[in-house]
Parts: sequence; C-alpha cells; structure tokens
Amino acid sequence: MNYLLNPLHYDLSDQSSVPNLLLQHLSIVGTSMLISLIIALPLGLLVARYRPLYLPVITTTGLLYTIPGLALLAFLVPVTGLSSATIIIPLVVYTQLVLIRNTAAAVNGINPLLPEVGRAMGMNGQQMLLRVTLPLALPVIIAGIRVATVTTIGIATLASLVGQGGLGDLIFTGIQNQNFDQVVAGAIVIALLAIFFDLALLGIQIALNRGRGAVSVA
Amino acid sequence: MDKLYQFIINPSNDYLGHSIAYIELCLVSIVLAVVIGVVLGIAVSGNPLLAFVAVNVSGLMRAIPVIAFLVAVLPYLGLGFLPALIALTVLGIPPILLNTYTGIRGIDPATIDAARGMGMTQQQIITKIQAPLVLPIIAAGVRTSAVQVIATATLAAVIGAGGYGEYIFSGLYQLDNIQILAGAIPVAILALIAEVLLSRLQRILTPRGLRIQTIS
Repeated sequence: MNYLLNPLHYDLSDQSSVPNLLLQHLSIVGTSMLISLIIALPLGLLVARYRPLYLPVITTTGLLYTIPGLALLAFLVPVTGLSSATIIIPLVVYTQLVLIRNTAAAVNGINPLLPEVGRAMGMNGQQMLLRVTLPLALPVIIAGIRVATVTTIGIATLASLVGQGGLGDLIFTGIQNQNFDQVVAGAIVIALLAIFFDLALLGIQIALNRGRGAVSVA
Repeated sequence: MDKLYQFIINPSNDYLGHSIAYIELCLVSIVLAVVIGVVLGIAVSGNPLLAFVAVNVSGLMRAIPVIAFLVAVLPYLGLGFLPALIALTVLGIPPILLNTYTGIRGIDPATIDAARGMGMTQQQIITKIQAPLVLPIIAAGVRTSAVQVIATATLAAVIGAGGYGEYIFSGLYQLDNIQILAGAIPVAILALIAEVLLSRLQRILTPRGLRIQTIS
C-alpha cells in the first residue's frame, strides 16, 4: 500500500507516475475496444441474419480465443515488433468471441413480433435497424461489452512487455526490481479499474432494461 | 524453422525439463480445481446463503485480472512451483463451481418427481437422473477452466514456476524471436488440444436425448 500512498508517484511530469500509466492503460483499452466494436457489431448482425455463417464464425473466434494472450502476443512480436499494434491486435482478437456471440444472441432474442410491427408501419431497412433492432438488442450487447472490457483491462497489462506502458509497467518493473510494493500497487489499481468498469457497465445495462415491458425483455 | 529446432534440441535450454514442468503444473492444478470445484459446488447447492456467497465471489474473481491475482499473492506465497500451483488452482475453481451449482439447480424438479414416481431409489435417482444431467454442464466448466489454467500457466513463469513462459519472457526481454516462438507455439497447441478434447468429452457426456439442444 505504501507505493500507492506516496505522493512522489503522482507527479504528472513523470512518465511512469501512477496517473500517467493509468491514462496509458485506458488509452490502450479504449483503442482496442473501439476497434473491436467496429468489427464485432456488424459481424454479429451479419451472423444473426445469415444463420449458416454463425457456426464457422463462432468456431473460428472461439479457437482464437483459446490461444493464450501471452502466446498470441509472442507470435506477433516477430511480425509487428514492439509497436502498439502488437498489443492491440491480441486484445481485439480476444473480444471478438464474446462480442459477436452476444450481438447475435441479442438480435435473435428479440420478439419476432416487434420487427413485424416495424415493417407493418412502413419502416425501411435502415430505420428497422436503428429504431427497432439495435435499441432492443442493446442491453444484451452491453452485457457482452462488459465482459470484453473487463478481460481487456486485465490482458492490457501485457502491453508493458512490448514497451507500450500502461499499468503493467508497475507490475513488471516491480518484479524485476524485487519491489513487491510496486507489484501489489499495480495489481490493486488494475483490479479496481476492472471492477469499476464492471459495475459502471452493469449500471448502464440495468438502466437500459428499465421501463421495458415483459414483451421486449423476453 | 531450423533455428527453432536447434534451440529445442540444445541441452542447455532444458526444453524437456520446462515442458514437463509446464504440463505437470497445468495437469495438477486442473485436477485439483475439478475436485475442489465440484465438491464445493455440490456443498453450496443445498444452502442458498452459501450459494449466494460462492456465486458472487466467483463473479468478483472474474473481474480481477489474472496476472494481477498471480502477482498479488506473490508476497504471501513466495516464488516457485507450489505458489503457482495454488494460484492456478484457485483461478481454475470458479468456472467449475459455478457450472456444478447451476447444473444441479437447473434440473427440473418434475424430472426427479417423475423418477421417484417410477419407483427409483435415491441412489438410482443420483446415478441415473442427476449425474447424467449435471455431468455435461460440469464438463463445460472444466473446459473453460482448463483453457484458462493453460493460458495462465505461461504467466506463472513470472513467479518462478518455470515452463514455456520462461522462454517467452526471456525472449521478449532479449528480443529473441526464436526463443519467443519456442515458448509460444507449444502453449498455443496445448490450449487448442485441451479445448478440442474437452469439448468432445462434453459432447460424449451429454445424454443422447439432449444433444440437439446443446449444438445451438
């Protein structure tokens, strides 16, 4: 705990101070989640609509998800070197299974009556997607984003190994200098960050579910 | 490829020793996690309060990053094989515990009533009704847990447990691609093997009448 309480470690001009590392960590997680969503949401909608695609896509992402984070990172080092791509690619790959599966499940879980009503009201494809499908699917999609974010925050620790900083720096430099106080400090901040995002996204999930009739929650 | 082969057969790298250490670490922790997870899962299934505690603690464990957990216990457990074993076992328990619990709770009480109505004894109900219905769900938990343990065992090199993680870390620090690949390839292969074998086991354990549902 001493490490976290020492004001020296909050000097903003120091690149390796706790707030700066936290920001670095958040920017890695943020970038990865953004790219993940851009890939996974359309894919999820696609496999929900074209069922035969579901199994191959889920099997492929499932196999990729099985490969340990450190190993995937290691495979990329010879290719992309010590760049931010080396950490962001594995992070994006890891989120795909959860995000695609949840998006597809969310869309498939919508009461078929509701899109029917939308169509009967004369909505076109785009309106159906933006005003019916996505709003109804959102709580389940957010649930997937929640799991993916928590996992990403944890694995982003490895960014330190490829020179991209983040809170993993506290852990890995701590291990090398035998400074366990620093290691524990890193672990605590990462765990708190993960729990914070878990609860925040859970709050959003609950808020989105509120006010929905029994019909749409089903 | 040739360099990789040279690295593996070079006795000074002790590839065999690290391989055995890695596989041993994974296997022992998975077996321990299965035993403890199933026993705890059965134990809490009869008591709502205990179940509430177990489910929430397991959920919380998921929020704590694996590497953070591994190093956070370091000051208490020290370095080496045994601390890594304990940490990996603890990490492997939640998915198995949760699945055992939900599997037992998920059995339709009407099914048990029907069995009793058919004149089955308590023992028959356990072996012929409950076990076949719960085993595939436990197997799914074991699969999640095993893949997670194999992945995390790489990180266990950080706390001095040896294994393939050693090559990956020292390769990363020395920027030696050969060494990195020598560590990463077997880990990825082991994880994939565990995933494929255990998903097959899960399928075998699923009673024939329920199989179509599980594909979805």
